[in-house]
Amino acid sequence: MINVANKRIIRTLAFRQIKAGETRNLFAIAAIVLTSVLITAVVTLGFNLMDANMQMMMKQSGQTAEVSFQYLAEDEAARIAAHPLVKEYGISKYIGFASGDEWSQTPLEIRTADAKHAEFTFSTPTAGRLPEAENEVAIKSWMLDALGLPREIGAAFPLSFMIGGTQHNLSLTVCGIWEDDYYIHPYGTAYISGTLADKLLAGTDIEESRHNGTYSGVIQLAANLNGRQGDLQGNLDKLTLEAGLDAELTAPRVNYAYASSASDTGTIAAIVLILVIVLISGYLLIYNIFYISVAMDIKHYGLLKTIGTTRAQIKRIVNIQAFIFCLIGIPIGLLLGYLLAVLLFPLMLAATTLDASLSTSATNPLIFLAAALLALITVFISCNHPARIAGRISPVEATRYTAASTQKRTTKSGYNGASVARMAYANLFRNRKKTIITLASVSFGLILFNVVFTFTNSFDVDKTVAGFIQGDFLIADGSYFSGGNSYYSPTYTLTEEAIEKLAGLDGAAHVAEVYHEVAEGQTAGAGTPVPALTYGLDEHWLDILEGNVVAGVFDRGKFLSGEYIVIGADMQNSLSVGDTVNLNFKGESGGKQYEVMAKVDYSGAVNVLSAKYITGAGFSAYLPETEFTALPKANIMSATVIADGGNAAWLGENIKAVLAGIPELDFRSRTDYEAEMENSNRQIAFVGVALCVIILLIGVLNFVNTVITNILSRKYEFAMLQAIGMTARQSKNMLVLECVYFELIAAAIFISVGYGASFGIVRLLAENTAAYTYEFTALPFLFCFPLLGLIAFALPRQIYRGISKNSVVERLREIE
Amino acid sequence: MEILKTLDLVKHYGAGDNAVRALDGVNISVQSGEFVAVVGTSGSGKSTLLHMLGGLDRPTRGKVFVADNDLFSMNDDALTIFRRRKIGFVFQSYNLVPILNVYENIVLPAGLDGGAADAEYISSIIEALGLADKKNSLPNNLSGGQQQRVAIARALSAKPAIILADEPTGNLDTKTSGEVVLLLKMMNERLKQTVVMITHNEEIAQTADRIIRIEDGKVV
Ligand SMILES: Nc1ncnc2c1ncn2[C@@H]1O[C@H](COP(=O)(O)OP(=O)(O)OP(=O)(O)O)[C@@H](O)[C@H]1O
Ligand SMILES: [Mg+2]
Repeated sequence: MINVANKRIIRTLAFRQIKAGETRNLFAIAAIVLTSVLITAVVTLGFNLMDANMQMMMKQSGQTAEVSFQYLAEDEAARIAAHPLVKEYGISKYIGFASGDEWSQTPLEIRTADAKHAEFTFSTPTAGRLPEAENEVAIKSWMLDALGLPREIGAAFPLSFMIGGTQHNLSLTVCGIWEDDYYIHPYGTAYISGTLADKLLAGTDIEESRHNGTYSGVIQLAANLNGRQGDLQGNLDKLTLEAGLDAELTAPRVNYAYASSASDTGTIAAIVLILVIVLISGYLLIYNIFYISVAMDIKHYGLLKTIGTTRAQIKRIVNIQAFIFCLIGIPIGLLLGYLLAVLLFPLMLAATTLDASLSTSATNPLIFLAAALLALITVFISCNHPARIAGRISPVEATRYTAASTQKRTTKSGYNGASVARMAYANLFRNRKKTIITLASVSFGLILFNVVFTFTNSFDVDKTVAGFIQGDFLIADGSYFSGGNSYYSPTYTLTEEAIEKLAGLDGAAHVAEVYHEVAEGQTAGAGTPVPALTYGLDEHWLDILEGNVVAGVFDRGKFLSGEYIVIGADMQNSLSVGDTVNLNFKGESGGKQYEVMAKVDYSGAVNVLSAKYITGAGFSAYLPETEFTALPKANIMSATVIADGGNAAWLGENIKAVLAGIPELDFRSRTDYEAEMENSNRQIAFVGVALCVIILLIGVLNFVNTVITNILSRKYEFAMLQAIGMTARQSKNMLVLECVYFELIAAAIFISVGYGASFGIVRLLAENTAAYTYEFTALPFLFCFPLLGLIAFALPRQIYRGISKNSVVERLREIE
Repeated sequence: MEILKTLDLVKHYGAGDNAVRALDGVNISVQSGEFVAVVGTSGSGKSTLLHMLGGLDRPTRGKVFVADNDLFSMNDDALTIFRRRKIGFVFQSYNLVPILNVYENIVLPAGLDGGAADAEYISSIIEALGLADKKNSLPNNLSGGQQQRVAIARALSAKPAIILADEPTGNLDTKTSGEVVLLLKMMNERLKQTVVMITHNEEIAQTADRIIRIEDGKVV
């Protein structure tokens, strides 16, 4: 049956119908544009967020390559490089580590690296280049700071190290510099040239250095593989096996940034949820537009049926039109959506824990493909049912004389009063389905808008700030602030003298310290000791500790005795209340026995009293500060100044003055944190509200379309009503009333479901995150309903004026 | 040769006490090449009968045979395809497709069928119906009589077994009505085209070969 000629006539019919229906086209295209704007924006934001996440993890892992071998000999590296599974690779040879006081705290590795390897490890010089000549070296920029040298190419960089028992003292010329975050990778890297490396390594047996653990001359190879990305581990195993390598010895690894993590699944779930919401609202709008369009053209389709158009052919007529609308609407939507995402992404990034400097406006063509496909699918699902309805229309419809209402009218005796108000009410439900879909679409937008608005409005600054600062001013080493306290390691920069000065300031009621040391924790019965992140707390903090106890009972007196500890409730540690642990602060033998008194949840306020999270074996322990003041040397992590309620700004100035002499220290005030949190909430609110406004717009567009098509399809009816004595004014009032009734129902839904939903959702979130407290706001209602009211009053009058230009007789005549 | 036959055709609208017996056991037969007029008072069931004859609607009971095909044994799609090949319609309100021009309207049934229309035949009927200079006009720019001639041309275009016309002159003035009926009659004679036409007009009915009278859903 499918042949060229009938396809052509079907196409002609579809094209001509588009030509004839200007208003309808406008709405259909606008609907598709809005829907694809949203889809594209959400997909792009999602992609970028995941990309940023991945980049962040790569930065943490220090590598972008998919896999790496840590310890290879020359021939092994050559075999891997030649293997067909390897798509691209970079090589770096380990030489040794630098000696000297500057590098005693932060190890400095000396290596060679080819350009690819440098690219894989974020160490391509941003100024200068990689070393070529024997006397050249490329280094991280902060390494120059550490030696008190200017960040300049050409500086002389001293390097002392041992290889195979020989001491080398070189002075090399800096030929390249790159930026690296010290707090993420607290170790130095110096790249030397291959020629120098060969000279230095002459006489070194690589096999031996690999076995004795000096690793001089051992090669690290980082590579991207061919084959399926999802099975990196499998491919790496295969590669290791086929290259004939000993996995134990060469340590092949998959970059953990490529292993999908829990945070990724969370992001994906959130994006999918938002996408589903977007798709539903797009569906409701596009469905309604096509449904109404088919209902208005019922006579046309009936006629085509009479003449012998089959169901499939009629469905195709509808689908071709949908496709043409997509051809126009989707590209516009893709472009606008992408621009919107580019605009919103930095705001979104700023509001997350991700590094805002990440360069992720990834223009992945996959984004557009996915968004276009999703939009296309949405349109075709939306018009599938209307197309089926069109196909099912009975040919007898063609012979019905009036072009007016298309639905079965169950004779109602409701018109007897015939007041305008009663007619309006009856008209509202003339086509129940159309009304309900429009109502659903409008309410959906309104409810969502309300939820998001209430949500961001319920952001609780005090609650959030509580996780960062308790008190008025927080003083600590610069690294505590710049890397986020979760990267903090003891620095010994905050001293007792400084604290005494702070305590003596006018307006400072109290200064509460937190001591922090990494100790060796030996639990009873366990073999090797594990790291224990220990914190010595000022008495001031004990209330917070007590308030966050999740197991055991906190006894102040017992705690202060110094025989007990409180530990962080952690999935990783198997300690329970009543266990005894031995803490050894100096790494010597001995130490002291403590009993575990209680466990605290350290995600909320206790965060202020803590540094790094425990990611491997180990635990965090909270002790009274007396346990630390007794130590010969104890690191003070932070000092919190509690003001006596006087002039806080003046106190802040004084603190600044005290700290002026100690450049390593930095401080933040409570107001700083509040401003920061407010700002990040405002940014996330902006993203949410921007997306919601479009969804709201979709609802409003649906409403406007319904109103317009409704009036147009009743042209004949209005002419008739006027012929029998209803004035134009009465007709207009009736139409306005229909809209008003509609909005009253929408308002009822909004107040009940909308406020119910936002209350429920915010409550749910408030229980899980510490940042929200439900707060009622009437703003969304006050924003939306006047707008809808304006439409209700202005639009029907305008459209009615349009259809009632001609005389009644003429209007009654023009039936087609 | 018998081209159209009904067997105890019954059509009820609604159910129970409110049921309307629009057709109440109609048995008619039409010979090939015949020009038959159907007359009756308003609401007697003429249009309903015509809908059944053309397979536009399904009867409550009974059968309709067109060129020996049992219409209602076919499913909807088969019936639709049968209709565009074997049955031509002319309605009171012309029912042209407003977005297609005159020529496109005329060849629409053939186009839907995928076959190319018989161009020579089409141009001969366009000529005969006096539409030659209106081929590219849109229906809305034509007079009622012209529109009805287009509808007749469209009904003829697929060389159907039978043309069914429901008050084709209902919207036309007396003079134009006469012309349209004359054209139908001419086509009936020249092409041996079977025509069943509903009319209210006794004078027009008299031009037919035979008159079928319907009263309260029954042939009288
Ligand atoms: N779709 C329908 N639903 C219910 N009743 C119908 C329907 N179509 C027709 N009828 C009823 O069936 C009966 C016959 O109607 P029909 O249209 O066949 O009459 P008619 O002879 O064509 O009248 P007219 O000369 O006015 O066109 C009438 O009583 C009419 O009210
Ligand atoms: Mg009739």
